[in-house]
Amino acid sequence: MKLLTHNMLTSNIIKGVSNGFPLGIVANKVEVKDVDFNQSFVLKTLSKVDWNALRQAATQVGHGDGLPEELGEDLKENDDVLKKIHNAMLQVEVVEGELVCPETGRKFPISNGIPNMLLLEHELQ
Amino acid sequence: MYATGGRGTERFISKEIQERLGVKEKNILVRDGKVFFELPEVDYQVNQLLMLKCAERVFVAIKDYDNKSFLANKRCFLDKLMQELTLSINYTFAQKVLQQLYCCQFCGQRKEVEENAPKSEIEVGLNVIKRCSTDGSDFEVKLKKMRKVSSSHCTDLVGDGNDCESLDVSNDLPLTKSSGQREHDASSIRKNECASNVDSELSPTVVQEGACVLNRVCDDDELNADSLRDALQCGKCLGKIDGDSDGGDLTFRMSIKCSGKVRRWMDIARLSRDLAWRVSKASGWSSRLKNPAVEVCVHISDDHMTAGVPLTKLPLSKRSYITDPGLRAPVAWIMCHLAEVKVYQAGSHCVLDPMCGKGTLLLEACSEVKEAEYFGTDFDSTQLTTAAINVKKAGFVNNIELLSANSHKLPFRHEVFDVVLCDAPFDQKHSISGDADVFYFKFLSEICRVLRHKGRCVLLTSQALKDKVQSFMARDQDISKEDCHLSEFSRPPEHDATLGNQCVQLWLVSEHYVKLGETHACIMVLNKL
Repeated sequence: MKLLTHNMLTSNIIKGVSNGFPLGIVANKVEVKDVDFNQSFVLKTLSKVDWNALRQAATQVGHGDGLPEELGEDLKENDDVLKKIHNAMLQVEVVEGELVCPETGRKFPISNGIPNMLLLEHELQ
Repeated sequence: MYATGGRGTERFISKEIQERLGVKEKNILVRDGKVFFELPEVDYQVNQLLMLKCAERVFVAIKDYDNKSFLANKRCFLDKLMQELTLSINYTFAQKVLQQLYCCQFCGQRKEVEENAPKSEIEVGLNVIKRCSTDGSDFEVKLKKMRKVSSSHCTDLVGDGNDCESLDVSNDLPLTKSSGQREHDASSIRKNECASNVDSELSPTVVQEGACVLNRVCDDDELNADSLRDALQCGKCLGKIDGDSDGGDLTFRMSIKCSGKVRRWMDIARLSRDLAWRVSKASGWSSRLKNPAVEVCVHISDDHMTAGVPLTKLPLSKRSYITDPGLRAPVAWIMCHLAEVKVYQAGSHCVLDPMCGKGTLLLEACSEVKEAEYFGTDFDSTQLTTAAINVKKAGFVNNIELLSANSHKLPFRHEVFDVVLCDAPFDQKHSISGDADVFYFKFLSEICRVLRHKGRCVLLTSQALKDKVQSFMARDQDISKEDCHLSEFSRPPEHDATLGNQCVQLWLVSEHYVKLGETHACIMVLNKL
């Protein structure tokens, strides 16, 4: 699971959870893949991303170094930062671990890079 | 030329042929399951032909005619059929295209060899030959390919096509080559310095490499005129042999398919035998039942008789990147095409398949547009495991993310996806638990929720469920009030809520009927308001 994916996930599918974002990450095994850097792709994707959540997630899995607290206007010109963001968003991959609902503490296992977001009957709304 | 495809896909095949091959619409004829077209410059377009994504198979036509007037009696019908398939002129074009095809395949392999080749080509040649003597396999195939390659290549060099490939069909050709001829073949190859021990049993690939090297020798300017002349001579020689046997190096098998009433009174096995020797005589190809180079396909329906040779042994729809398809690849491609992932190529594009199964749709989409993020969810973990294997085999691990999730409870935030692709359950093979109405409504609501404003959803559903889906769509008046609805979002109803007047904020852009085997299905293109 990429951190970009994590950024899109929410646990508000659980009964009683209103926001469910961002999910906490417990990473037991992290890999860094080699993905081609494409500046316009990163910029466009960033426009959809919740930056704070991404930075927080990157820090949780130990790849948050060098990520700015806020995204400045001059991002386009700053290839170094963009490459770091590219790394955090698209290259860092949680292979084994857990996602944790921020409100209920419900754990969603990640195994073989695939998060299991299925709920039990009684957890459904 | 003609391409075949599932019912309903012909329109897309025709469009793709126009776009990919630059064929004008007036030169395309669409008929039930087949698309006929004329290729102006077939020599340069063989490779593009093989890239067609909508078609099941592509054929080079031998003959196609209207059958109706001959169907009145069997004798009349058979006479016409035999007569047409005995005309050698009908095979000229097919022969040309097939030759071109082998030549192209050979060029592709030659490139590979060049990339991996050691510096001295003679050395390569010798290495190949050395390997030849240890590798055992089909001798004839090798000779066939070698000759074909050499003759057509040298043809290019002298700029004189007909010397080397005579298509004249007058004499009695031997169905299989005599060993003397084989010797002859071998010795002519031996003339070239690269080839020496070829009379042993050889593997076709190895020998092809050998042929590649041989041809490179002809190609290379630095090599002296002697070797060039040698190669030319060799080519001519081979050409002559080709001429002697009337191109008999191509092996074929008949494949006859009858539909309609013809099927009732036709003995296919017998017809196949009767036709095989005629085709063989007319074309100069030899009939071989086991592992032939090509198939001669004859399709007889109540309306038409169509004979042709498929350009590839495996259908084009068998994709190299999909090992275990869950959905027919052409249909998947059409869906991806309709989703217009391409339009946004420059920017990021997030694509979701909420019921990805084995991942066929995502793989097909990803093979077209790499600059996008693909997400697949499914609630069945065994399906997801297969999908993961498929994704890995295709080499798309960086582009496709998989998650276990319920399509009624997608664990995604609002409006994060640009495109949703989905092969929805038809309630046939994949049954719907509970009421299909409720199922589809909830599911469409979820799709709508995760789609961004003006995002697109391409849905494959059964013809029977199509109306149901449509009944949930935003009504016309809603669309006209588009702007007022932007901020509103219709939540999915509770379990037992009546679906009455509720609707999802999607509207139908277009719908396309397709036939999947015996199932009538429909591709629906929906846009979010």
